[in-house]
Amino acid sequence: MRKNNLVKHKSHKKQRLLSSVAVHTVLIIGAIAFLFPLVWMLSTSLKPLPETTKIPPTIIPSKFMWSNYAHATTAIPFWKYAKNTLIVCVLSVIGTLISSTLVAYGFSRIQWKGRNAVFYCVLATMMIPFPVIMAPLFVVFGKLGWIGTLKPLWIPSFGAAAFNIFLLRQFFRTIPTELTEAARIDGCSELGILLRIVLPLSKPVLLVVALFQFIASWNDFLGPLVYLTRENTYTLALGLQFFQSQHGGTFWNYLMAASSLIVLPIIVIYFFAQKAFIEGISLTGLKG
Amino acid sequence: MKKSTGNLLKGLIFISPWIIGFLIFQVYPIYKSVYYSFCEYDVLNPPIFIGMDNYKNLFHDDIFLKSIVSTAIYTVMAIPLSMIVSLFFAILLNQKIFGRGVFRTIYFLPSLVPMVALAILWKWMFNGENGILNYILGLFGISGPNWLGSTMWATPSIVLTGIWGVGGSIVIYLAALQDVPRSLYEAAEIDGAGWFLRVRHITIPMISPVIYFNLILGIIGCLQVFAVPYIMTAGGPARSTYYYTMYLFDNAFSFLKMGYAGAMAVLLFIIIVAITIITTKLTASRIYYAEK
Amino acid sequence: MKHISIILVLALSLGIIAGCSKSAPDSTKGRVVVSYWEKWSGFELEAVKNLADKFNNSQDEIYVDVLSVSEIERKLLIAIAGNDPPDIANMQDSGIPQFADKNAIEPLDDLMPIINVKQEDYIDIYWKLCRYENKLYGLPIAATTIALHWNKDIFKHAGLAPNTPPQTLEQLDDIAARLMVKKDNGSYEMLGFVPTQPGWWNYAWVWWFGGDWYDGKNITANCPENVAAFNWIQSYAQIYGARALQNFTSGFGAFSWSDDRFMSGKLAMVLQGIWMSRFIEKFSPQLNWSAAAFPSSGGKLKDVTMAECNMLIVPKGAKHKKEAAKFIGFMQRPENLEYLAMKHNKFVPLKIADEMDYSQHPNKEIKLFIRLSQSPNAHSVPRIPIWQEYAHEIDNAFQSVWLQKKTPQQALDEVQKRIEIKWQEYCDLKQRRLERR
Repeated sequence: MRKNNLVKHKSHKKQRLLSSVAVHTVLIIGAIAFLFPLVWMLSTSLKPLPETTKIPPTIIPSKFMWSNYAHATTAIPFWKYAKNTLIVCVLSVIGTLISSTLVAYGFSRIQWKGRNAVFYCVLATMMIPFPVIMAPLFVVFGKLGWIGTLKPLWIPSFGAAAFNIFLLRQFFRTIPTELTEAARIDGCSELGILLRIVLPLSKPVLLVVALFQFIASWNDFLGPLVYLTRENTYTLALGLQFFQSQHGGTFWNYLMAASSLIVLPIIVIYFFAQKAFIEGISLTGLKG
Repeated sequence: MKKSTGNLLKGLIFISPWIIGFLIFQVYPIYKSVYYSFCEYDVLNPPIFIGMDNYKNLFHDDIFLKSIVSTAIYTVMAIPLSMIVSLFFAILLNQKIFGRGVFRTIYFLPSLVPMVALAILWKWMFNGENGILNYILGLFGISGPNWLGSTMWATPSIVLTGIWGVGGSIVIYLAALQDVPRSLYEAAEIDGAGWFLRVRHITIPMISPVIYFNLILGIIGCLQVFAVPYIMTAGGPARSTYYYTMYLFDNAFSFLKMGYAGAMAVLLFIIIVAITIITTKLTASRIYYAEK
Repeated sequence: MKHISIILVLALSLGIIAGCSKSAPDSTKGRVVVSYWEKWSGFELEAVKNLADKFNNSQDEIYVDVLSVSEIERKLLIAIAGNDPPDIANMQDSGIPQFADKNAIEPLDDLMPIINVKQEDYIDIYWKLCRYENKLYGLPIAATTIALHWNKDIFKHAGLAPNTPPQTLEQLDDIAARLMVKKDNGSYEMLGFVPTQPGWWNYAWVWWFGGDWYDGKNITANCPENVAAFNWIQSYAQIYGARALQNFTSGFGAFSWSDDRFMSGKLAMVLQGIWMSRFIEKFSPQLNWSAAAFPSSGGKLKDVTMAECNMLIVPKGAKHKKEAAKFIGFMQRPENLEYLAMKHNKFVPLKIADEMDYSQHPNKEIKLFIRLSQSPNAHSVPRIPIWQEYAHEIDNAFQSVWLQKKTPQQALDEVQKRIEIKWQEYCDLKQRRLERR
């Protein structure tokens, strides 16, 4: 008996070791593939322009042109665009958090007639392709006088996006009803319940929603492309276009330097918020 | 009775931000789009009603028909590939392995990069003559094609660029995977089931709602693909990557034919709804909702 | 968690403070601010900014604010439609018919007393480009033409007379064949000539065969001369095998001087514009080059070229038209046009260009380009409002022909068919609009 178990145990261990090696190998290969473009971007950003298109290509630049970064931030009004992008992102996150929590609460913690039907309607709006509303929305913004400002990019986030409503609703449903019932019996208003009980329990999920929204706004291209007309309202995503001119061609090294700078804050934020972020995602219980 | 009407009111008040947003930023524009689709409208001058002409012209417009085909090809390539890749890596990353946190970050990083920078970067890496991709292939003795200059390879190149951004899906699958009870796997292992069988009979059914969700969102996303091809190929070569939304965008903002673009948009909406319904019906039997 | 909420609050306050601060420069106090959208960037933009500064310093009623805008045509349309246009913009001539047709830009005829220029002073073709349907919509600030540029060293090296450019297209093809050097792995060490460079004017080649796209009344996409031109284009694809060349400079960030074959001495001859000398100076000063009129098929047509210009236009809905007109008038003064021309390596769009002193001009071939602009065979992009769609079709046809997916006749027949339909739609629409009035 014992001998059998020992043999089984040993071959099990061997199997585990082999599968572990296999898994690690695949992950490492995948990681190289996923990281490579970023490494290439960084590498290019530090090269002098002629070296960027040299064959055979070099990974390590011959000269570390840190000045490319300085030039990238002065060739275009980088900090102005960064400011604009930041404004849009922060305001969008605020708008999203306020509206999505209110709406998700309404769909999950209050029982009212027709609630589920309306919720399916919300989900259905995820099917609306942006092109359908892109042009008329533009006309609407024009009539409101918002074209030429940053408003079209952040005010709509106060209207709660379906995806965020869905995420938050999923989570709110997991909060035990006893907690809220007790508060109701004590005479607490719905808003009070939301603020004092539900939200404090939801911090990880809120972080997920905020992070997703921040990243989406930071990286948004089509919105700024269509709605921003004045150069002083441009966001970073649009600003990248300036590294090429009518007949002048593209300055790859500055472009990559600017791109690296644009990616950097997101990576930093993600790095710090990572743990809470993953926790938040799993708490949403994305089933059903 | 009183409580339920009180509740109805409360419910509606809470969801009022969504209602307002829905009406102003979705219902009204859709209504307008439909209206414009029956007009000739260039935004600078008042719309002129022309009835069904836009729709009639669309069906004779072979650029339109070609864009549907190329978008379909793109979707059929991109969806299975991205789902398999993201699911595969999510499963791997769910195991207890050394450096799990680092790997997870690495796989998620690319999805943080702005679309513009990503597309430019890939466009450049795909360069047929001095792009890094062909250089690496050359080291293995493979003579890489002219990726973005070939009607055969342009769409796959764009698909490949998209795959690189599956980090978001991986994270979502990871979360779903963590909810699958260990006990199920252990029982299967005792019964002698290998890795592949475990995945097929436990993992996938248990996270099937999430897979379904990603599938629908993925299809909707693919049908609207715009930014990456806009930057990488401008629809070329020979319109092989001139997808539906790109033609729509050109009609609206380059040719100033908002009515025509509106008709395309309305049709796109109908197509999306139809595909969603069909997909839901086809997969309904395969989705397993665990009892709470 | 605590830390993150603090960070968020800080970011929020930063955002609000930044959002609330107004950023009007002090120098505009009391002045009318004229917003000017400029499509150029880099050194070309600098020159314009210097002129704007000169204008701003010379008086104190108007302040011209120069903004650099990319994809200016699209942005302009959006801004005009959104009721928020600039007061002046720099537009390429090819966009005028579309914009004028849609009433997106203001005719300048009523503002002429302020602008104060005379038609007779301008080189004919450029004045023509500024007009559409009997109205004047803009005034040129930069005039260009295109020509054959060739690398004298490569010629010498191959035993060809370095100062003798080909006089006919067939001679050019011959030279190109002789100069081509293929590498073992199938790519090209040296090319003599390739019609996909620079890739900005796929529609232009037909002019060297006596063809055109519009004859004033009808669409002529598939006329025999055009087919002949596309046959010639396809012949190059057949020789080179399109696969081995990174082709089309389409899309965003496509063109890069650091990649350019002519610049790096890997392409002997290229069709390029007058600005080329400036970029050669900057990126490849050791290049030993010269320029001449690009030869036509059989040498039958002399001095064929494409003339383009950038012009200042006033968008519809501009709030400061009179002030804009004053600035346009200022920019049209010969000394200012000359300043811009010198900085851009171009020439002034005025007839006096012939008599000016070019000993200091950075482009050594400047006289050639001026001569070409006054040639009877100087063409421009067809002056029709559906040109954008037409150009897309031509690009598509060019790519299909280059990739040998279609014969030139097939490709051009398709263009003919499609654009005829769109042209008919446009004419019908115009009719409807007139009836409405």
